[in-house]
Amino acid sequence: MYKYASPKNFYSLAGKLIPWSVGLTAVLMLTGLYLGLFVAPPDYQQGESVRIMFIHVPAAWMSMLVYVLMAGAGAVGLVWNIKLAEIFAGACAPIGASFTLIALATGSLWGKPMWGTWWAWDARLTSELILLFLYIGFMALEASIDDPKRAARACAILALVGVVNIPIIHFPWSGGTPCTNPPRWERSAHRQSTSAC
Amino acid sequence: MSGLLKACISIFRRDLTVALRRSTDILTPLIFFVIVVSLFPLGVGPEPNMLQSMAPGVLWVAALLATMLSLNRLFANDYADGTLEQLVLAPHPLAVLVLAKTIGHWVLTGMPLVLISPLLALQLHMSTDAMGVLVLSLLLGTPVLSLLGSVGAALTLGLRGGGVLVSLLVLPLYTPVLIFGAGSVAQAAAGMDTEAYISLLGAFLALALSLAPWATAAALRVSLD
Repeated sequence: MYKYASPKNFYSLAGKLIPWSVGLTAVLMLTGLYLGLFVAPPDYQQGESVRIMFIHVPAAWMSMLVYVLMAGAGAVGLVWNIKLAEIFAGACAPIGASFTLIALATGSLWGKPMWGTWWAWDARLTSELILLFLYIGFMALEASIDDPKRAARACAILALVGVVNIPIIHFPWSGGTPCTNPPRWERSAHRQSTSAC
Repeated sequence: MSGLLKACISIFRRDLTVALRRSTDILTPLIFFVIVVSLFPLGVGPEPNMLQSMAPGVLWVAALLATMLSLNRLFANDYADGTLEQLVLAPHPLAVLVLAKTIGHWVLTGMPLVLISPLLALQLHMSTDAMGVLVLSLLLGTPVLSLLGSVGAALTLGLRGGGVLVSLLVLPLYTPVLIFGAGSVAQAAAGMDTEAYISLLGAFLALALSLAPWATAAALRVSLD
């Protein structure tokens, strides 16, 4: 297994795996879309718009998870000087940025019929937008350093500094409306805008 | 230990002396701060109530931008004339030396902003209570801005388009400080308790003081490789 930690072996393995993972992705995505768009019943409150949630929520999860993975891989690359970790961190950035953009776009599309607005400055929306900026900063720094080794190390430091920011922007910072019942995790996701208690 | 302390003090002194020889460098961010704050009443109209409610955000955003604009002088000159390499070669932990440089940067940019902020707050019809909280929040917040900015400045050292890049890297990191800094002032203006906000700003400062110099030192080593 450990021999795949060397980029030479890893690249040939990845090249062989790509067609299979493309096929698997297509099958799973089509199944998921079919289940989400045709099988799942419309919500009693949100109607057909609830289908946006099937994409929005996982995209939002992934946007944060990918950033943490990217910073973790950056730390591994810095500490143990593992080349594959640097490659992994670099590959994370565009994926994470795409998920962030998808989460923002679908959230905006869902917000229009539900909240009556495309955008609200609640904690989660703002934090998601900042996350997008963090990804863009990472990619901009990577693009502006020519030496790939130096770029990977600089980006790893940036990602690690940024990850300190994630819990701060992740948890709702504005108390929102005072609720008598403790807010559940799902509700706390958009406490300010959705809570009507 | 005393050698390290001596090295830190001489770096701090040197940075201050160099800056004072070119005193326009100190004045530029300060004047930028004053101009940006003064532009808002011209842009949104002189309505006192509106200015009062906007003041915390305007002052904080202006302080943030002024700090950001001054970041390039933290390392750029030392990088150009080779002083920075000497610092890296010095027999002391680079992170501590970087901390001394960052404190020097704050004394030259952050402190003047804190000192002039009550005057600008007065201009925006801020109440006296809120003004006190504004000074306190800036006193706790601007060092965090300098510390986080030093990481960005070190990462973009010697890169093409470094000035724009540093803003892209640093501004997202500044947002929590902005949220809690401006939040504390708005809270005070509304006559509410600001302890939680001020405590969090203090926590940010403690966190940044202990972690940012290490990140900056690591970034400097990468940039000077």
